[in-house]
Amino acid sequence: MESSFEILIFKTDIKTEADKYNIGLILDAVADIRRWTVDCEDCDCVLRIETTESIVTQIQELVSNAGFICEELTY
Amino acid sequence: MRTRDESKEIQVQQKAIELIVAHGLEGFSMQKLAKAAEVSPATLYIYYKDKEDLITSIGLIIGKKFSESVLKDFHADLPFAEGLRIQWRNRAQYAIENRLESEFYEQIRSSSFKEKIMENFVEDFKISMGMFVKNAIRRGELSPMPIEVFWSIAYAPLYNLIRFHHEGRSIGGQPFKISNDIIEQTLALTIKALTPS
Repeated sequence: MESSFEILIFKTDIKTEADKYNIGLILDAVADIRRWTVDCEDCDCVLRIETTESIVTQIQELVSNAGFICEELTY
Repeated sequence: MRTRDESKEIQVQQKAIELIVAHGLEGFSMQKLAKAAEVSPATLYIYYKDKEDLITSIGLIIGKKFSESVLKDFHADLPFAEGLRIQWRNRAQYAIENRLESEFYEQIRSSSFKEKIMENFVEDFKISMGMFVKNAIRRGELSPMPIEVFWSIAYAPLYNLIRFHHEGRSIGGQPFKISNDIIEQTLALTIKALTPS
């Protein structure tokens, strides 16, 4: 049985492997993040995050400070 | 808490199969799927991390279903003619009842997704099929031959009949509908071709 988690979806401009590597250094350090992926092939470069806590604002701040766009996409 | 909605997930999968069968893997994107399934792109990302993840997941579901359908009532120890008859019945039933899924599966089989999907469920299937052929050769019910030759004689005729059936017409545009008689007649010739004289 998987423990419950929340899925956060963001539109970004994380486009390249290098971008992904850089953002990874930041996201991997956030304890509440269980798993994260970026779909660089999609036009919205969707960042998908599984977290144990609702940390939308924190993610947006971290990603923006790293120099990327980060808008939450609603379902 | 946002949770997975199973019925929505199935609806998304069905729409993805339709799109891929109609337009191929190349032209498929998460954005197009979202539009066709009338959900927001973000919704798709609740279920899948990207396009590859989505196609692989659907491929695994269909592959498992196909494998279970084909192996129904089948056993590797069956006499060759009986085993092949069950295979034909199961394969025809699956392909006719699940036309879209079958066509999707054919697309996957010839794509880069093949290995990822096949390695996950196909092992039992391959072992069972391999044993069936081996046993038949050992008992002298089947002539030894390369696997490609075997498949081309043993199953390709059936898939050709299914293709005619799906297209609704055969050679020269003749109307065509598959029937048990047609299947039995073709199967009898197939068994004759494969059996040592």
